[in-house]
Amino acid sequence: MGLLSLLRRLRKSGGEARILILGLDNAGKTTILRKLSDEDITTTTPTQGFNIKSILHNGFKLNVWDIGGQKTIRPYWRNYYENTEALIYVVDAADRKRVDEAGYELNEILGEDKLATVPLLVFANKSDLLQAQSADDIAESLSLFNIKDRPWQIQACSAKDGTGLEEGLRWVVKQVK
Amino acid sequence: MNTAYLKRCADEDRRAKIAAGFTIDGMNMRDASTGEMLWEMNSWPSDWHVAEIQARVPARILQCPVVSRELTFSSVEKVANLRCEHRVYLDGAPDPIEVWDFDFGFVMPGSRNTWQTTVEAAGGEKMLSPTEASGRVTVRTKFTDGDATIVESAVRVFYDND
Repeated sequence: MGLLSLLRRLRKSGGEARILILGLDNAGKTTILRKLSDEDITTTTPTQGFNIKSILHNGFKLNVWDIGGQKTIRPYWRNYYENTEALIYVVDAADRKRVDEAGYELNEILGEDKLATVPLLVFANKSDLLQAQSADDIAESLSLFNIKDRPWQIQACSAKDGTGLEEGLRWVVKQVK
Repeated sequence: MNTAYLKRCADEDRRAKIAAGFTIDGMNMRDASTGEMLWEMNSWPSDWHVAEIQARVPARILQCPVVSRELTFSSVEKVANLRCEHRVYLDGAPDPIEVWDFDFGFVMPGSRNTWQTTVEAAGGEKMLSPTEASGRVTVRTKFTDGDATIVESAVRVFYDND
């Protein structure tokens, strides 16, 4: 499981790809990234900058960028858009009060020139929680069905137990040319 | 005074400020196939700018098919164009056995960041034995802003039998 096994299956060689992970604070971006490498997720703290995972396989480098989601950090997001080949947007599906805020920020991102046509995966995270909304409901709240300028996908997941991560990632890696 | 001179002074000023507020906070190594932490160092000696740091790592790390190495660093100042040159040397050999250069680009002021690289082992007869390699492997990391060096660090790795 995880990023490396995914890369092995890709049979790519040479080159480099950049995947960007964004989302509100406490959505679970860093936890997803750690879970994908089977790392301890209990020590995760709010990201005050960025976390990058660079994986090399067969001369092919995959760089995954996870940028902090706190409100004060969001104005810096735009510094990391360049050369992005796929965007992962993480939403806390159990935080009903902040779905609108998540939708607003996503809308801003999708309007950026540097991210035009970049494929989008939305992770509806924390799906293991009782109060979590379904992926369909989240897609509706985020107006994903109106997106016409890029491929997109939504995937329910739980960063805590790993459910759905692999499926989502497989879609993302397929989009990377 | 000409403007080129003034600009140079301002550049140097800014670099000194970046360097003063830039720290490497920690480093760790993991078995990347299980995520298990094999070694971590979360407090660096205050004289790390000049001294070589010694890492005592369990010898079984050399048996791991995939190892990940993670660096945590902080910056008080904003950095426009951070770059890192990461080299692993086996002493006696002038050429590094592993080279990894990375462009971070923009670094937020007041930020704490991590960079993890995952590399597959050479495998087969290229694998080093712990006794052979202990104390001879150094990991050198140099952070730069544009062409200017911000900090350099060296970690010498010793392999201990568990």
